[in-house]
Amino acid sequence: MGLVLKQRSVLPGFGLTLGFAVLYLSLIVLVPLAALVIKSTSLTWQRFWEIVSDPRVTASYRLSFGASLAAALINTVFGFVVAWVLVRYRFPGKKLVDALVDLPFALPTAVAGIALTSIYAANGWIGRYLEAWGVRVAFTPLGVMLAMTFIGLPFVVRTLQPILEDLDPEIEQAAASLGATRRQTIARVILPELWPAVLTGFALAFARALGEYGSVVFISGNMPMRTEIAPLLIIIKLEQYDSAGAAAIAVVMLAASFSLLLLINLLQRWKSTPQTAV
Amino acid sequence: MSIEVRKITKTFGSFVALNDVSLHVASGELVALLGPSGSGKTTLLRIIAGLEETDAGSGPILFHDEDVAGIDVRDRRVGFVFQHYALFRHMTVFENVAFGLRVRPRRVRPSRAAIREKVQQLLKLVQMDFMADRYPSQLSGGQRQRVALARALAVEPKVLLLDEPFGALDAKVRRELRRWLRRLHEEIQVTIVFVTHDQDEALELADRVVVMNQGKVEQIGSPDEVFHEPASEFVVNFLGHVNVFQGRLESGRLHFSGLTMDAPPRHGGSGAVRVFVRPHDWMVETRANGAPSLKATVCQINAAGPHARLRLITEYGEWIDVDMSHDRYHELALYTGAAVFLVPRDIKLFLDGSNGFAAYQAAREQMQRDARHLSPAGP
Repeated sequence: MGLVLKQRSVLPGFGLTLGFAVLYLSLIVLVPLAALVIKSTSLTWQRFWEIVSDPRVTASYRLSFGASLAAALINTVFGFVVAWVLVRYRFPGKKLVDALVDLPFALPTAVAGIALTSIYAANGWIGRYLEAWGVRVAFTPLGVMLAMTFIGLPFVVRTLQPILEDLDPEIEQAAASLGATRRQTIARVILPELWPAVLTGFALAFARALGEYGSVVFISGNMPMRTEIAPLLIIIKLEQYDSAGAAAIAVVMLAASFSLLLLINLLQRWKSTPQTAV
Repeated sequence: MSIEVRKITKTFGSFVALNDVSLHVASGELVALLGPSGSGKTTLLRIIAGLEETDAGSGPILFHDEDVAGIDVRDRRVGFVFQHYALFRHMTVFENVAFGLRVRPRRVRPSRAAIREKVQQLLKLVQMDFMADRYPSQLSGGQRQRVALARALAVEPKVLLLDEPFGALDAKVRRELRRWLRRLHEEIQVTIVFVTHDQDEALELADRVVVMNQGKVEQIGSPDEVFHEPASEFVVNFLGHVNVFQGRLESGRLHFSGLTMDAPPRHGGSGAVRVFVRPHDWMVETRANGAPSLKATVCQINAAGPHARLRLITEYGEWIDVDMSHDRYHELALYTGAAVFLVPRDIKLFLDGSNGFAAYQAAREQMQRDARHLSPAGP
């Protein structure tokens, strides 16, 4: 082990940059997270379990993870289409559409939440027609998912775009000249090349949706057991000066999302090994 | 499978890539499309493959007398090898070659075992069978090229189209692959059209060479014909280094650079001409021997390489490059500053403003008619 670390590289600066990276990550990420975990340890194991297995809390986990997964999946599919259109075609207003993609990044999330709520409320521009079809968006889990989809879109588009731009159009022509249909070309040639980037985009959109608070609390209506997301419960606990209880809920979220992201990373490595192997 | 295109025009915006191009390739022929970049050679190849559509008003594209202009690339059964190979990076060599067979509709798809056998056989043909499990990133340029060829051959194409097949390879690998492709062509007898900007490659490899320039065909002929009977100044210039002179043609006599000689046959007219002499087409003498010659002084000598290369200057200040054998060079004992007499062994000349190809075609047809009349066995 010591041998491996001491191995000299022709590129200088490894020790310095690694040291800096570890220190930086510690200060910015690890120390606050450790504090969170330590805080939750002030509870007894039994109390901890009581808090996180409370039906209201488990309902919020289900909503948070379920809606985030759904939103990330929707973003992966439609973000792919948006990225494809932006890279492959030239049309008037393309620059405008391209800029529009970043808007969810820039907009204060509360603004997005209020805007979405007023549009999708039962008397809003769109909500009024959906209401006629019996579909309610605002103040339902569907609305939660909608807000999460809104804020997650740029992640998928922006991770896929550069990869799509690098994709050689000749490999599609090669596939076609070998007799592959358009569908076969996409499934067997294009998607495998994009797979790692698709997973990254999915993971980022998922993580963003999971942590989202500002826009969701407006459209969800925050009804206990139905439309309460986990971050909201944490805020509620904090407002009641129950910081240990808030930490307990947060630790479970942290563990779950970290294992999911780790899983996605492993999947990505497994899928992309062939291309990087030399 | 023969290929014929008639009166093909293709424009990209205001750029005319192909202008009224016609071409016939006989079944089993190996044809080179030769020209500088922007001459339209790759566009023509891509049109034959179906990767590009012709402009409205263009003539048909015939495969064995059947019009394929409306047929999609995937149904044309052409093998296309891209300049940069376009291999699938996430597939092994084996999977790349098997691709064309695996994407067939189920009822015409060979069994797994049959695919395996076919791919192994193809990999053996291109001498890559021991690398079946490698990924493209683990191969050298020449190996990738051969995988791309095997992949194209897997679908049993009726014609094989190669875009600058050896363009990205170094000189030595290029020569090897050229010979190898020639052998492969003899072995599998498929019609091959390839694009190149390298005249040596075209002249060495092809049965016939199509010289293209600015979207037009300058000349079509065997390597011998295009080299020895160039149809236009462009063809002379493009097929290797050449010395150019301004001259005059007057009643069968040619004057240039202080030299007067009988004009070559078939050049009866009068007027300003441009005279082309290749570096190896000069006879060099240290003494005038009575033949019409021009006087020049040796300026530079480079004796390294297969020939001795000399750079000379005439009395009129024109530079002339001359190649000669090392034997001859030693025999003449040349040195910088030596005065010599140059006798052109073979010259090409073109009247200023003449339409090279049309004039050439007319002259050639006339010659063929004459030959038929003269030949005792003729009709």
